[in-house]
Amino acid sequence: MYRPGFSLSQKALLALAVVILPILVVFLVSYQTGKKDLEAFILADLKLHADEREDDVLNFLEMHRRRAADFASDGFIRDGLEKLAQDGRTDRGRLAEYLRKNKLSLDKDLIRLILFFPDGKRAVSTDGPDAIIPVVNGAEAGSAAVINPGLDKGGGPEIVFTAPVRSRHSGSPVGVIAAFLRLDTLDKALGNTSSAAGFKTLDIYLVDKDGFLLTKARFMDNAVLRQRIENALVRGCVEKQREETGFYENYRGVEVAGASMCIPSLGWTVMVEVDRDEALASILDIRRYAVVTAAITLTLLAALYLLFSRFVLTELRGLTGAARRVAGGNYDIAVQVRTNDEIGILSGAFNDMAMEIKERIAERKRAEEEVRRLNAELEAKVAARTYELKEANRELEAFSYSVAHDLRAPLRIIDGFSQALEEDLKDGLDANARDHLRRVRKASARMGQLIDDLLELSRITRAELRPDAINLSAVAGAVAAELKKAEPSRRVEFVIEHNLEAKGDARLLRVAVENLIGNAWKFTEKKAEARIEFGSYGQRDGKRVYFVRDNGVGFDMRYSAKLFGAFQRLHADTEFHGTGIGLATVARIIKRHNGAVWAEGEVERGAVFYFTL
Amino acid sequence: MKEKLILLIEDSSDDVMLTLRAFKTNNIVGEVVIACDGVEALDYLFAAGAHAGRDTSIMPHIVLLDLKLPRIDGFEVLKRIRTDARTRLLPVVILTSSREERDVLDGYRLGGNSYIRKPVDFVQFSAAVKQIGIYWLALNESPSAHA
Repeated sequence: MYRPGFSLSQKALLALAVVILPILVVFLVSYQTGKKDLEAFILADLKLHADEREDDVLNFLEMHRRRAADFASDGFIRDGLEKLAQDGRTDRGRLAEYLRKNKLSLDKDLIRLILFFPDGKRAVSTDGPDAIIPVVNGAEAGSAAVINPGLDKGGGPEIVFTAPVRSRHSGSPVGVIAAFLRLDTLDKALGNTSSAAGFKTLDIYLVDKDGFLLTKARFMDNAVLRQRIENALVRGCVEKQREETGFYENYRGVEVAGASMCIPSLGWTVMVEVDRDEALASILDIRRYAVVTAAITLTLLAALYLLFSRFVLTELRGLTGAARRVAGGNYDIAVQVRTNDEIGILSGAFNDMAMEIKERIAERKRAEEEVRRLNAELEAKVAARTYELKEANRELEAFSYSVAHDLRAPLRIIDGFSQALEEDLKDGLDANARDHLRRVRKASARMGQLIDDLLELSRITRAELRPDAINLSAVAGAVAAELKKAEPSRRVEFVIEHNLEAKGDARLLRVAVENLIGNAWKFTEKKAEARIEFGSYGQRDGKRVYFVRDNGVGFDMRYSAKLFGAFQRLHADTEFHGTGIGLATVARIIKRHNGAVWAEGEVERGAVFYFTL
Repeated sequence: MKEKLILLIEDSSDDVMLTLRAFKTNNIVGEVVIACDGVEALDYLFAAGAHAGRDTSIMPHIVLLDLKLPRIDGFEVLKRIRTDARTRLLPVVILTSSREERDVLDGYRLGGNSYIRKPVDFVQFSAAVKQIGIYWLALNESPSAHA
């Protein structure tokens, strides 16, 4: 069972691939491009946000710094602090009260206000003289700092803004005012509301220079100042003061898109993050849809292929099998026609063809049978006919034989008693009577000769031809020799061409040559210088022409038609002895060799007898 | 010439006459027994039928046999002659008018000693008879003579 070079299934699959691959490629490329574009867009968007938030944070910081400075410029506070410094004592409550009433009340976010002496000792606190002072490390005047006092106030981390207080008189620093706010006011500054883009996982937070979360984490509780934020963006801000965007794994272990903004004065980083899944949601959705669609499509295609395989391929294989069986000689095949399409038509046509072949074969067989039968009949007929002919021949032979025998016997008697008569009545017979008897005897002798000749002629007609290669020259030579021997007194010149080969029955051809040369011998009797030639000359009907020429008495061409007739003579018996059967015999022999014989002659000039074989 | 016994088997009385005449002309002397057909010939040879009682020790010196005989034909006679021990060695000259090759061959095949064709011409016939006589009766040693 030979396999096809490139089967339909393979072609179908190839076609599928050819169709699907470009689509896939195009999709992938556009997906990638789209994704990149979207990522870029997201990052840009986030950067914008970050930028805005940074502004917000800066504004916030600036605002509170200004306010601290503003507080620090309050004359009462300046004088009060100076007096306390001069007196070397802490506030008894009056300044605190002032602060509370006039400053603290301005903003409910303010937790406390503390005035420090230049040496860092507490001067005034709105919390009261006995309240624990949060440690403010490295709070340089005019800056902000984040502290985690850990005070058991249920407060949590705080942010403190400081501003130098200067004497009204001398302008020299008399101390520092520190405004304490709750750290979570930063949260407000950051807003943390979903932007117009509507991201659900949008997370905006601040990271301090040590990497700690400063603002409330959206997805984590109690993370402020506890959670360490470590990512490339933060590092970038802290180390290189470079603002960046990118995709990374955030502190929650979630892949996010983020943008950072740096606040170099404090070493803070504003982080704006969105879950990558949400950010790229649209493109991911597309991808998901595409995958689903692809899956569905492939499933459909697979189903289609199976259907194709089942309906088309199976049918085709069935047809192929059937065709092979027909080629193998089994014509009784019929393929089931299952569908109405081209395959169905093909199946139908195939069935018709098989039937046609079957019928033709049957017809041919019938014809062959007929031919065989006719042949057999013919053979039988031929055999019967041959038998009949053989029978006829046999009968003829028997007839000829008995005829000859029976005819000869009385002849002998006639001759015998004529002779006896002549001998017995020798003296009693006169010349006349003797002449009569002589004629009687001659006539019976002649009849005997005629009978012999006729027998010979009939034998020749009946005889079977035994084809052989014979040397006619040799035969002619032998005949000539015999004639010479029989009549040595005659002077006859024989010119016989050498090596004349011919194909025919040796016996019959010898008889023919004997007759022809014998005739030539006979009819040149009267010539003193007789000349007999035997040779070949030219062609007639594609066969070689042989001839026997003599310079004897010849014949009148007017009677040439009679020459070859049985018992036909052109000369009187008194001139030349003969029965007239010789040429008829020759003619019969030549005819049996499918040849032709004809003659030319001129009276007293000679004759030529031509023949072909 | 010693008296020779010749058996002439010939159905035609004309032929018999001519043959006897030929004998006479050529001085062939001998007793000639004529049998007109095969049956009579065999009867004679085997001392049966009309010739019953003949002394079969006396056999012809020569048998002249014609082929065309009524009732039992020449070949059959020849066969019988050759099969019987008494006549097996008899010289048989087939003297017939047939020149058929088949007859000649059969003649010899069946054991004939010689085959002579009777010429139509009487002179020739006579000459042939003379030669037969000289040869078979004078020259040839007959087995019966030595039997």
